[in-house]
Amino acid sequence: MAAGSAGRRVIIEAADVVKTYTRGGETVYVLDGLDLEVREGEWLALMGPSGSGKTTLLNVLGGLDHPDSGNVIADGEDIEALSSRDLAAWRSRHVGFIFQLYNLIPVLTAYQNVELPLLLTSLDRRERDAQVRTALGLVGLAERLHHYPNQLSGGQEQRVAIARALATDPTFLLADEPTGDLDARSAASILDLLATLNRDLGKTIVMVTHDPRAADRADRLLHLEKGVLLEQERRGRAPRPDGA
Amino acid sequence: MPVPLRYHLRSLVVRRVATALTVLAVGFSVSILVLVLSLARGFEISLADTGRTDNVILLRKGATSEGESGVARDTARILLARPEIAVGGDGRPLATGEMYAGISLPRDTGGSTNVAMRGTVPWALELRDGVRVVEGRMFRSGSEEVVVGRRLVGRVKGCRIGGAVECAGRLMPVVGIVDAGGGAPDSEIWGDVEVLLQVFQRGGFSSVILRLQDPGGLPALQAALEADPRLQTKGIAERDYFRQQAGPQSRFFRIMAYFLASIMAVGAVFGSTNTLLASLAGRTREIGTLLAMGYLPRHVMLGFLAEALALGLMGGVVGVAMAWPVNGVATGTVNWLSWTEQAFSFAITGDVIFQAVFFAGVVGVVGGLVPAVDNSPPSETAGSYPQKTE
Amino acid sequence: MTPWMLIPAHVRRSPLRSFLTVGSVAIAIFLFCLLRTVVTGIEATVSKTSSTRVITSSAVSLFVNLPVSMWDKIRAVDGVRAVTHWTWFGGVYVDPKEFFARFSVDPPSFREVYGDRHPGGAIYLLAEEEWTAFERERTACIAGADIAEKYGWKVGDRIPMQGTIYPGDYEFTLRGIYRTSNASFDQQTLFFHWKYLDEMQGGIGSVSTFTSDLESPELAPLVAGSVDSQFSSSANRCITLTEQAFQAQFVAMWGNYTLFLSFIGGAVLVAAFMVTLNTLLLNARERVTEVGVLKTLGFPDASIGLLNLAEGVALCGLGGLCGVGFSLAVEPALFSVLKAFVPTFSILPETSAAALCIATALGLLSGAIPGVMAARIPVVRALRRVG
Ligand SMILES: Nc1ncnc2c1ncn2[C@@H]1O[C@H](COP(=O)(O)OP(=O)(O)OP(=O)(O)O)[C@@H](O)[C@H]1O
Ligand SMILES: [Mg+2]
Repeated sequence: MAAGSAGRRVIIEAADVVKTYTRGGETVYVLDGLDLEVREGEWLALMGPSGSGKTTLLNVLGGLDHPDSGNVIADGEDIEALSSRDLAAWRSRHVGFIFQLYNLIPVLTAYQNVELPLLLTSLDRRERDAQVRTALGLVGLAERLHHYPNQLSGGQEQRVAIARALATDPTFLLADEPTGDLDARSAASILDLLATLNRDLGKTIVMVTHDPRAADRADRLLHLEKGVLLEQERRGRAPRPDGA
Repeated sequence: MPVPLRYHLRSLVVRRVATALTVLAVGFSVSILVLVLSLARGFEISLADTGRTDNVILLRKGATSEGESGVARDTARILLARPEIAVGGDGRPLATGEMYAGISLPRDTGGSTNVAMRGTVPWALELRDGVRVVEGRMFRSGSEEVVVGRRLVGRVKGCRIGGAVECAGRLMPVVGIVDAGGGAPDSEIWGDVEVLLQVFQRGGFSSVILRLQDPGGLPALQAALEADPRLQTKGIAERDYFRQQAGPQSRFFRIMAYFLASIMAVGAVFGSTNTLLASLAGRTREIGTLLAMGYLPRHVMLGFLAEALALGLMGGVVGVAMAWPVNGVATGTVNWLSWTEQAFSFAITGDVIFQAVFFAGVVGVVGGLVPAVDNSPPSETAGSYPQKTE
Repeated sequence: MTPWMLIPAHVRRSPLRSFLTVGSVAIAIFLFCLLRTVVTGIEATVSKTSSTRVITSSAVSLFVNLPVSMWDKIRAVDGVRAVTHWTWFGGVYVDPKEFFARFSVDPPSFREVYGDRHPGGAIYLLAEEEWTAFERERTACIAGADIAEKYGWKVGDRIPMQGTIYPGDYEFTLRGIYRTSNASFDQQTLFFHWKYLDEMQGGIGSVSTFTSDLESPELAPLVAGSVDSQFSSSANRCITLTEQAFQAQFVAMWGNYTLFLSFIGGAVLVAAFMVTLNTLLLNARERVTEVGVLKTLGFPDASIGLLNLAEGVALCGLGGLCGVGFSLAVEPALFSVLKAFVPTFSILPETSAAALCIATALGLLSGAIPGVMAARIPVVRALRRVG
């Protein structure tokens, strides 16, 4: 475990989470009494075979999906107790999602995509503008404000998506295979970007990945298997500057 | 090597909600066309197929209908003695003077209407052999009895066996119902001509009707009439006369049908174009694959047209089906030339169906033109999502 | 809380599809205005009639004449201010297909009842000299502005006419071209002297109808009763109706045209509904992922539903505006086409308002279905859905 975040407060706490699907009369336990703690400022990587439930877990942590049983306490709030309207509001304040397929809105420009979550805040137009420019500047796309998604490369699209996730300054980021659809170069630069966010801005990141190199960049790596998380020994990873 | 039709038809099934809505939208336009065309057709049938070609109606020169015409008794006497007239079974010449008038009668549903009243002879059925008494009997000579056309039954008060129609203050008992198989007499009332002339205080007939001995003898008769300036009379084949009576009005109905339907068709074309554009947007990859497999753009385009045509034709079938319940429904309108009630039924005949389905096919193909020409990934589709998420 | 900018953004990104949707609504609304206006035009012939005029016709039918001798007797009835008579002429002008109404009238009393001598104002608008010229000359006639324009008639022209009901070759001299002040009266009728007709026929001695102008509308039942009872025992039994009831007979003779037209109008709107609903559903189908993203970002279900609803209303509302605008723009052109069938064709403000309401309702209805679907879809499903 990376010592860097060991002493900080727990920001996500999932306890005994069960999520099942019935398929052809048979109940599949995708999450089977799963426990997880994520600390503030931590970069956590999740790996696991395809279909093991990684996306499901992220959805549960981000308040997109409800577990059959168990609790998810995020930033001190039991998100299971929230109404769907309050849950939506909670998401807009606390969670930034990054998807494998970027999921930008194709009819909106990069600028508008990033501005979208800010419409849910009480910021006025000028404040939003500043926020959008900062976020897009941070991901290195200050020059591409008015491009549409189909005028951007995959890597650039993912940067816009990250800027969108960042724009509202959420409590934590959930990234589902953020480099899964990218070539090695673009993937590396996205990981650099996430590293910067984590290190310099102190963003908490939970990242699902299939790529060991991506996993290597994280502070901690967990394996999802048979519905529970297993701690994974780090394989010769260079210690972080601030780490043990 | 066109793309197998099955591929396109399958895509209509996959997108069944969109297909269904498009088919319905086309269907509604088609059903309007069918509705108005069947109205026009029904109206035409009620007049156009009335009468024989060897029966001749003699009218006063210049008159366009029996209502306007007048034939004095002297003239009628000369006309009824013409040698061209055929002779009936019992040696009687098949010809008679008739009287025609519109009378105002209350409708069963309230209000009043003008009904054609024809004064004729009790043996008129021999002359107009397409007409049968289907209930009761024919009126008696010299009596105030009348028979009514079957289409008046249930539309006009008193038009039933045992009922009576009021005419000029007299109640004329209804003793029979006649059926002309959809022709004009179906909405007429017939009574004895001499009695009716008295009732209406008229000195002369409205017209004379006669059967030609020689079915091709009309031109000769016309020439003979023309040559006699005393008569001031013209002759028209009975069938042509009734066809003329329908003319302007059925033309109006037809124009109305195509006018409405073509405006609606533009709407339907817009709708089906939209559907196909949307379906294309979701299929850019599929099309790419087809092209990669070696299909030519031309083939893909043809496929889309086929798909559009199928949409249109389905719309046509649905439209005809939606309009079908009106087939045979009785209605009526005032005939513009005689100003009397013309009862008829909506008639969805083969030609109406053909026109409707043809129309639907055209709508479909036109609706498919833009998407088909546009199918090399247009900007239209580039903006929508799926390419990347698929 | 609703990302409104998505609506213009979607429109901008698929202009053709948006245009087609707006266009199909516009067409439906245009047809609606057209059909509705034909109906209101027909209704106007009844509703805008005067209440001080009553019309006496034969009880047998409109095609049976009344003796002109009744004229004096009707004039003598209490409460009657003036009486004039009309006689249907029929006839052929050039060709039987060139059809318009021709009546023979008595010009002096016609002027009293329908012209500038009427205390309540004229129905048929002619200059004083024109009235006088019409009165003075036995073969004079006046014609409505619409037919005068159609046939290019000018005052002073000779108009030949062949009699049908009343045989013979007539020739009229046009002495005035009238307009009407009231939608119940068309501008497509030719009026000439009854005396000329009577003379040509060697004395017909009869007329189609009498119009009595009363001193006040309340007298109508009384006058009608006393006129009808005077002649109830004679062979010329008659029936006296208010002008409104008399006109209503003609409209009724047409059968259920208004119902038929309304029915067609309904079908037109349903078809437009199918088209817009389809477009919006297709849009919604393509935007499932977008809905998932919006929900992920924290937009409430309600505002996502609202977005769809608003898009429907915007597209249909715009279509409605275009449709009404187009109808108003082509109104004069349409009237010239439809003249032969409807007495008036003017799009009433009520019709425009109804059309816009219908367009909005169309939008609400066709936006509501994808709206509810979008609001309801669980975010996880929306995100997982591919294509
Ligand atoms: N709506 C659903 N109904 C039934 N089964 C589902 C549903 N959603 C997910 N599953 C199943 O749950 C399991 C976990 O799915 P999940 O998407 O979380 O896997 P994953 O670990 O993210 O896989 P991958 O690495 O391929 O993205 C899979 O077996 C999947 O088939
Ligand atoms: Mg996954």
